[in-house]
Amino acid sequence: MNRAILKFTAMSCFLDRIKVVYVIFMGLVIPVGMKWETLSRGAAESQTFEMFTGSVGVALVLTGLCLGAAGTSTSRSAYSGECLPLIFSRPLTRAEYVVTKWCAIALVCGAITALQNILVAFVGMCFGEVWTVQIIGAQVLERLLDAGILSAAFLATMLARNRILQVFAMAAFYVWLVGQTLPPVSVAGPNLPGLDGVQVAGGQMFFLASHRIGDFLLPGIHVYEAMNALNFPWIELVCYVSTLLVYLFAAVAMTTRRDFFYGTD
Amino acid sequence: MEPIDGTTGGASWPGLASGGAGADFSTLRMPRLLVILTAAFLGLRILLTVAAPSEAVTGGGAIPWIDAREFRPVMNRGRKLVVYEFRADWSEPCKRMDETTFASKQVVQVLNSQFVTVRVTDRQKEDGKNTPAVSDLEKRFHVSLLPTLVITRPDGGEVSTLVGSTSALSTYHFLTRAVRSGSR
Repeated sequence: MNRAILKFTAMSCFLDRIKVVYVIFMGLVIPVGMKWETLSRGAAESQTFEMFTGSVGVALVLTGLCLGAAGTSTSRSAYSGECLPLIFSRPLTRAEYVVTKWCAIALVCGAITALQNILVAFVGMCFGEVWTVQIIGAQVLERLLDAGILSAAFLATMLARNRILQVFAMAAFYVWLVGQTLPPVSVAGPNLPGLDGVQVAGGQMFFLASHRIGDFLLPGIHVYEAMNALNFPWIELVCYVSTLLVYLFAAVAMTTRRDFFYGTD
Repeated sequence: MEPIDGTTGGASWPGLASGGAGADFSTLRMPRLLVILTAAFLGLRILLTVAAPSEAVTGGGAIPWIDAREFRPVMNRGRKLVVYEFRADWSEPCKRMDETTFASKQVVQVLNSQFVTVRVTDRQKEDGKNTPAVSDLEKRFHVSLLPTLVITRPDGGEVSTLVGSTSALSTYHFLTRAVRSGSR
């Protein structure tokens, strides 16, 4: 782990004011406001709300705030846009570079979404919801784990030089994102005719594709469910760890000297 | 020869220690631990996927669901709240909810202690029509999307509704809120 890269990567996430405003709205204002509005009107939980406080919320924060931070080891000025390379006093291995970048991005993104979940819990408590330390801890850990897998996937995609792989990864990510934002419901009754039927079938197809991609490429650990499950989901844990390791391995393998020793190869 | 960066034995930077610039050290080397762990976990994943039973273990067995066709209000002797789960066998969100939410200890505990649990299975896609009991319940509670959870008082008065497959935590909050408002 390289402290200089960790520090500069974390700092570079907050350089652009527009991005910070976007993240404050998407990551904090909207989900917390939705929770407040939902409970103050006495309505039940909605899937839209769950989406913003779950792995999709992590993805939205990650794309907005941390994506640019996966680039080269430079220090960038927020105002002039000038880039200066970081000069290290000793050789740096590509594994050290990748793992440090991953840690910095995952921590920044995980911390913001964990804060969001804590605020949501606080709003819930104000309206008499049962939120124990165990539940809040599970939510925080879940967001950190989501941030871990998503940032590893993003890092591997950005460091890959293969355009086909990048296009495939981005397409899979957007199918996953679209499917996750669809309400997780099926329409009761017979198949609808015409355009309505096509719309319902299309929605179902995206929902299924999104969850298959999620299971295979972006598996998460539902910490609260796992802690309270009748049978501990070992497969979920192994899928998560193996996918994370594959992304880190791929990111390290695809990194060249040019990525981490600025101007050398 | 003493390493120039002050380390002893040159364990961390052997190339520098031996004097030959990068003789046995490469910044591009792959960490052995990462390679071993990746291979081991991938192997374990394949093994578990192959060995896992095809049918997912669900919490369905832990909740004593009563079929809607057999349920009569007189069966609710404990005067508990009634939760109707509207579902369909082909519905992916219903399957997801069965595998995760209804396999959660806390959800199972609240359902078993505070509710009479009634399962309403829509079979219109498979059989072309539903039984009168299922059709009546769908009309009465205006259910068109699955899964839907409807909670009623023992006298039949509706307390609240939750549409769609939600996480165990959201469902737990929904059930506990309904218990509070139902007991008022």
